[in-house]
Amino acid sequence: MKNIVLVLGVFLLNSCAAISENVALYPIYKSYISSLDGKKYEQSFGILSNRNQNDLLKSSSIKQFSNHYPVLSSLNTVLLKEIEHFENINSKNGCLTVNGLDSSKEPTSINLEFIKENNKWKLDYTQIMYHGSNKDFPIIATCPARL
Amino acid sequence: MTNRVQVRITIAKLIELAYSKDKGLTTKIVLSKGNFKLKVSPNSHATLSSSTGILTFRGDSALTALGAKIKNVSISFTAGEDNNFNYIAMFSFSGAASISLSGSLNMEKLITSCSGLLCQAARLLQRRNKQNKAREMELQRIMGY
Repeated sequence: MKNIVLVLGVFLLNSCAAISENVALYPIYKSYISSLDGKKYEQSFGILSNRNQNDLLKSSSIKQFSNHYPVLSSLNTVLLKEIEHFENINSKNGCLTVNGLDSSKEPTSINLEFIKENNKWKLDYTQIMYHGSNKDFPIIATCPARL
Repeated sequence: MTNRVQVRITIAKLIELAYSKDKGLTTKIVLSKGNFKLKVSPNSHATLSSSTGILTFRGDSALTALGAKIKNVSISFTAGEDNNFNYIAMFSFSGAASISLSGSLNMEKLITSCSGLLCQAARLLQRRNKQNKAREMELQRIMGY
């Protein structure tokens, strides 16, 4: 009986850890979207990975955030209505998929890839997917495709 | 802001540019009942290809409306019924982002609209005159809006 309780306890602890890890990316996404809504680009900039930060700074400044990143800086206008989200986290990277409807009320997803830098999740790459129908919605976290 | 409609129009404009470059070969490629691909490289060299042939042209003027620097474009067209083609398009931008779009379009309708008066708009793309707006409306209609 003692063993069963112990096994159950370990199982519950693992489950809690998984749940805790699985909610790590969405709040960062929401924080990023909120920074774009308020045009607080310094905050948006801080959420980007070092690679992206350096890419902006080598040719420009944070004031030019929206010009340098026309797609990344307009993510807040892509989904007019959010439906669901999924995330999947590994030790080095994590992917978040947010499904919803765009301004034409058509199915659209945003796939975001985060990488861990200095123990924090940073946004490294984004893909906007304009779907042909609702059945094209991803049903699991999908890392953005890169050409 | 790049949105679904602008991406759709860009696809149609790329086909129009191909058509304005070589009407005969473009028609052969897109109406050959087979699958074909449209690609644009970082230096804006575009290729339209199928088993029928390959056409190269400059794609810059079609891409300007997206308002972001394009790294690569890859669009795969798969033949459906009644000259309808399903496509999956992927636009990769410099700046850690890409946009993908799937949909379908009637290629015959697009080419037919381009073979008459409306095709002039394709040649006028580079001149950015008032007709561009009207042509965009026409393309929106063809692409399903």
